[in-house]
Amino acid sequence: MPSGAPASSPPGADRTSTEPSAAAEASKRKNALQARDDLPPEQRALLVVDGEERWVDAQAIAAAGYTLVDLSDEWTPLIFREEHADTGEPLPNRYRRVFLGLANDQLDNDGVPLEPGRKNYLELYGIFPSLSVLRTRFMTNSAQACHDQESVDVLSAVETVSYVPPNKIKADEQRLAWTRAQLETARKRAKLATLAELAQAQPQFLAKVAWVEKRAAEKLAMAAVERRLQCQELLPASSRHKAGVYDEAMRVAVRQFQQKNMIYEANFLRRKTVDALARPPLANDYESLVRTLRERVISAAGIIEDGTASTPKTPAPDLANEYANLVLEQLGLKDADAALTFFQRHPAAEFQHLRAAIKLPPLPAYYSDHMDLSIVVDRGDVWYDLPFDAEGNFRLPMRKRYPSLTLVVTHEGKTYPLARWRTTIGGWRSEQATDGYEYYRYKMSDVGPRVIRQIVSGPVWIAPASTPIRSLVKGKRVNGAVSKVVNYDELGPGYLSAYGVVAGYFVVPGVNGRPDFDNGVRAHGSSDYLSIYSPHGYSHGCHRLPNHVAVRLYSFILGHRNKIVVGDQPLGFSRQFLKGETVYEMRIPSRGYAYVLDPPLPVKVLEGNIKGAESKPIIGYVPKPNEAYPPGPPPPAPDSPEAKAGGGAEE
Amino acid sequence: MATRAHLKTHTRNALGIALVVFSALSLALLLRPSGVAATPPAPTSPTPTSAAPQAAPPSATRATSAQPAPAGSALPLKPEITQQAPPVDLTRATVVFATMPPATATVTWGRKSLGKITPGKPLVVVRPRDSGPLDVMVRATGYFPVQTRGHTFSDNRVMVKLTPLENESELLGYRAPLDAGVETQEETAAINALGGADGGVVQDGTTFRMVPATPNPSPLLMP
Repeated sequence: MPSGAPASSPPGADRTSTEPSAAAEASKRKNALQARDDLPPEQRALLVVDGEERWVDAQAIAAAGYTLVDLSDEWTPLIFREEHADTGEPLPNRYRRVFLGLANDQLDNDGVPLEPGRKNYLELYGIFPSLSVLRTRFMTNSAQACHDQESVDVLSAVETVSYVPPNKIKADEQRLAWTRAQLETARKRAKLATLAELAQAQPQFLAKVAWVEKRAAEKLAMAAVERRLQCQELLPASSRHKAGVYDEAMRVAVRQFQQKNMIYEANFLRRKTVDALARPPLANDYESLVRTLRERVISAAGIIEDGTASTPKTPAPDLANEYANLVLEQLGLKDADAALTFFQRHPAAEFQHLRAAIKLPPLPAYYSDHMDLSIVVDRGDVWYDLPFDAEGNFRLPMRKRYPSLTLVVTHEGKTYPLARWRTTIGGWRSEQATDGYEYYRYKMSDVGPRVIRQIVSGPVWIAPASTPIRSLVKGKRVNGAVSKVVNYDELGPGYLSAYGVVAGYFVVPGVNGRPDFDNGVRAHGSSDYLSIYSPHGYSHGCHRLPNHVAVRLYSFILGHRNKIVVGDQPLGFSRQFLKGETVYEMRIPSRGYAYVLDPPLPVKVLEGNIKGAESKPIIGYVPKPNEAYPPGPPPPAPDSPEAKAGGGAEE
Repeated sequence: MATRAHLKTHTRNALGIALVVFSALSLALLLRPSGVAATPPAPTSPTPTSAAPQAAPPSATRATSAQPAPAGSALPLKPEITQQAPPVDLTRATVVFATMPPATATVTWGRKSLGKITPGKPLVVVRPRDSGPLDVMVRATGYFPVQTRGHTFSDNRVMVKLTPLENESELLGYRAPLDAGVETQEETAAINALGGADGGVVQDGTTFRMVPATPNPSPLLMP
């Protein structure tokens, strides 16, 4: 059953055979639509009738065929909801508290209260802000513009802002000055008024004129970006940013802006980022609201179709956007101004329990409580060749077809793709061998039939012993001091975990009473979204998905398949490792919160197109070019499933 | 590659593991149980991955029984340190720090000293439940400092294994020097008997190709 709604039939789905009388139905609907201001918040829902808001009985309106969309600050996706064993014993999910704290700008990823003034911008990591947080943004941004037409004009005049490393700024400015001087001399000699005329009259100067003018426009754009980021308190005075320089402070500020606005781009001023900087803050806040409401209605309606399964020949439904638009329409949230008015009308306290009653169309016929679902992973173009030539020069193979993961439903003998997302497969990655040195190793993504029997929310990645040590330690502020500590961000649980916030484990099902064979491959959420969308992005064998997509996928699967809720899986694992002069000890108390699918979900991994000279994967460690190693061959590479399980150093 | 240094390391590790298990049992007898869901002494090697996830029986106990603190509740930052184990209190978590082998060690949390561990007397730290992890540094003379973590979602014991400074090579992450000894003839024969340096390949129906037994060495090592 879809989460977020009390026990009620899915909206519009006509899977029962009873046909109540029309009069009874009309009476039921009329009663449900009656205003009920007397009800306490937890029993009522917000309904808009003829443009007017009213509180109605939540249970009655749901029985009348409306879908209750949970807009409260206590909402989580299905994978983090409170579960109970068959005996009624609660099975708490420890990460639920952290998830809610992150969404409400109250806690950090360790579950510790945020420092005053700090915010979480985690949409890119699958954690959408609560409506209370969005309300605060709307109210704040309505009070301060942080937006002016001059900035819009200069930002619209550039495609991107070229990145010049801080240590090359001086040389770049000298080159610019010299070129400008050269052009001025030529312009005066030719007795022309402008550089544009010079470029037209003497085409040999065209490229230089274009370059000088581009850089002049970018300089103005950079200043506009600085003003905007400073106004929005993303580039504070304490950051020691140097005006006009894309320094570390600027990079962090741009990254925060990108995260706040869910922009999938590298941390530079590229097209999407510049476009968002040119928009008024309230417009960006409105886009955040739309994204948040989309996740809420996807959860409430129990849907997954988002249009990604469409092909040129076969369009596929996009229920996610269709339903999100219905929510916006029925709540009167057509634009940023309307949304601001909505938040002004509803005080912060109302978002503790707020639910909206939305009339949604019937679900497609293939929906049921236990759907015949399966997953197909297409590995796309696959290169087994070494990533460098005999001289040690790196060469990055080109791919035309990228890996994809498709969720499929079979209904009445026909197969329908529900959603198709870009994913990753393994490639050449760094690993630490037993001699303490890093080598390259090809990380394989298994091919063939598999199943997902176990889904884990808040999963923990147990870094194999071959994980490069450098990735397992990070700097962290601990009780007022910056200290080097074990990098639990990557281990999890958390949105930065190598497994993201949810993972499905691919296994070969055991036969004749034998256990399943787990070769370490999962389909999981990932905070490394650039690895998913980059032409040269690879995993360590797993199939990565953006965290919010993984949340949708597994919430949908758990909502539409028979399952057993296992709950928290205590582990008690620890391992020590040496880095520098300190021993670090990772301690992992739990594997995460487990669900078991019964029956398991079928998965098929297609081989894809093998490109290059190597037709099979190369086994074992390969020394990196231009690195020094002890004499002799590399140590043997471990082959256990534990050694294959995802994650590892970024390279 | 099974070098002599690695064989010695494996032997030392086996002895070390036996010592840890024995000492952990001794310490468990000495220490009074401190509450629900205490973490057992951590093994030094990873627990095997469970290949077939089993549905827990209905009567299975769960790791946490406390209600989590409401998100965003105000929590005091200063830990209270006491040498006596407090009674079970679901609003607090008791973290017990001890070392193996028993040693005198200081425990710091960022800039703050939490106290000392002495042989036979662990350090007991009490924190508000769900107040976040305690990332601490344990320092004892003659041993590598150890950065470890205590949790506050339940009571737990942190048994910190100390490694003497001269036993550096026992540790994961230890990097052999570039001029490490060349493999002996016996070692080469042993490796070749296993099928080469890459002996041991997953045989689950996929067909992998073996690299040559002596892959091309780094150009820097070419004569």
